[in-house]
Amino acid sequence: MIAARLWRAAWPPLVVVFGALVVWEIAVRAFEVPTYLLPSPLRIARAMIDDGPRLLAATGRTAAATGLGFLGSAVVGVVAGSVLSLVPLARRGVYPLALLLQMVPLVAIAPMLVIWFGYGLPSVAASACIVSLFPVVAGTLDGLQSVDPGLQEIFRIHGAGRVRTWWSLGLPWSLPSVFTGLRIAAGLAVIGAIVGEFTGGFGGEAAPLGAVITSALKQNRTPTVFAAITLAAGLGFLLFGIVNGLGWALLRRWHASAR
Amino acid sequence: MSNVPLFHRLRTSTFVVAACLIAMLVVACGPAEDAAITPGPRPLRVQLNWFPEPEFGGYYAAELDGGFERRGLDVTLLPGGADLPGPQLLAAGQVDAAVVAASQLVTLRATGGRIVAVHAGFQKAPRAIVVRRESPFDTLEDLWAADGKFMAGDGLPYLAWLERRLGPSRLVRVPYTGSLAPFLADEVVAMQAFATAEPVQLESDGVASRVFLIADTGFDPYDVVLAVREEMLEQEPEVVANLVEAVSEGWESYLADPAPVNARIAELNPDFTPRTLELAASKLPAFVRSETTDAHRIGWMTDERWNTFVDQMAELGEIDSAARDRLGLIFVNPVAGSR
Repeated sequence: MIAARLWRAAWPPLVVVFGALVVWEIAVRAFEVPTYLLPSPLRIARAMIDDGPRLLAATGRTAAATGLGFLGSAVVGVVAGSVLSLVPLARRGVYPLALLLQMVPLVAIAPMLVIWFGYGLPSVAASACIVSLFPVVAGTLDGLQSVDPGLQEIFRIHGAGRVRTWWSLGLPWSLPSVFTGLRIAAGLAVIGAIVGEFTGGFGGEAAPLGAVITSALKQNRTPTVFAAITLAAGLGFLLFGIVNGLGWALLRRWHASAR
Repeated sequence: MSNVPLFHRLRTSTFVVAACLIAMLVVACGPAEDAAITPGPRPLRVQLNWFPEPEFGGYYAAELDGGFERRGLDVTLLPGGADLPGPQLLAAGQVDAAVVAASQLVTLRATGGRIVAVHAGFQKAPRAIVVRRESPFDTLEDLWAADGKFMAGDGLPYLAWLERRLGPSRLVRVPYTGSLAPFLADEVVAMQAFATAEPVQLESDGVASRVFLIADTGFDPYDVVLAVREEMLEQEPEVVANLVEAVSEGWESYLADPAPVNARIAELNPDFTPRTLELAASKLPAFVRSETTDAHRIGWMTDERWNTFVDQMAELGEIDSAARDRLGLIFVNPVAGSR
């Protein structure tokens, strides 16, 4: 049943992607576009196969940093959102500043992250976390602020404190909103990791995807650049899919959005 | 229009707005006016491949002395940075000339880019690895076998060269972004450098250093190579020749008297102090001049040097043998008035 549902959802976009790839291949050949400008999908596939082990290892490293950063932003985001909702003064004072996280140009602070956290996983995960934090905070806060007042009243009548109300009513109520934030954060975490790797990733044998991209750019190996980008996008889809699946599992029994 | 439903009104106005935007896009992205129609100096965009520094002294000198103007050229020198894709910008027509690394020129030609070298500012490769003076590495082999981080731009062929000569290194590579901070903070034990640049900068930051010249290991490509598109060379050979001769003249002027040009560089790049610029300029003649330049002019290139370099690139696997045969014309020494 689940397999049939997944297939029904998956085949239309797959057909579109396949069609787009065919058009791309034909266009590159027909217009004789040079490889360094726009490689054809077949060349990109060849680069993926030739460089397979190295690209897979690089994807693994980026995935680790992305996962760690995303986990961090999920936990910190929910906690921060909860604190902001429980402490009105904090919300009025801090929330506008949290928007700064959205504004900070990551490329500018990435070197600082390397100096503070060190090369490799620590600074890259920090980069992924910073970029993906705000959507989770916003989703959590929004959900907690939207709790049905009638239900809150019931909890108050029965003598539940604010923390108890938050735990038993607020959090479950805000799950759909939190998951919206997490979905957005998933894609951003991958971007944050890749950009962090431009300045803080190891080179050579231990290179993650971001470092593979900069190195391939310097060598004019454009098919490899596109192959790495495809894998990074795949990573984003995977994380997004995991978040979606988790959301469906948690919400399907009782929330309209998951039916 | 008040009796027309809101939805229809919105749909119509959305369509009109979209049509206007598309029209604007088409006009904006359409072909530019033919530059040859307007009389006057030929405007040229020259993309440099790093921030303003003495390594481009000849260019700034030509600009300052009016060397470009005298030859009917209106040159804009565009500063570069750490990851600017200069060769690709040139091949794609975004700029008219670009300073590139010799390796980038070769790999770009191998992948279909039609750019040609016309001037080589550095006759001896200034590529070096810099370490602190008090560090325990007496030779490059010592450094190569050491533990620690090495700040170097991944993907540069000299690293592959060193790995072939010295074997795999125990050093861990981290990205080179142009900032000396990790070296100053002792986060990294070594970093890539131009022998004429970083050591001087480090000295003014109070850090004594030593360099290992890559050229001493046998890998000695031209550097600060000026390249143009093949089609420009075919269609406007005089413009290219004039550009090159202006740059060579600028270099002579800079090496003879660096002070005025250094002042200009200091304006453009406040990271430099006058003392640093003076020191850097004093190191340049050893790299910019050679027997070839004495016989012809600064920037003159030879078949022998380019052939050796292409052989090395093939040996390192940077280009495959099929690409090697497709390389074609890699360099020219344009001379004004030769046609």
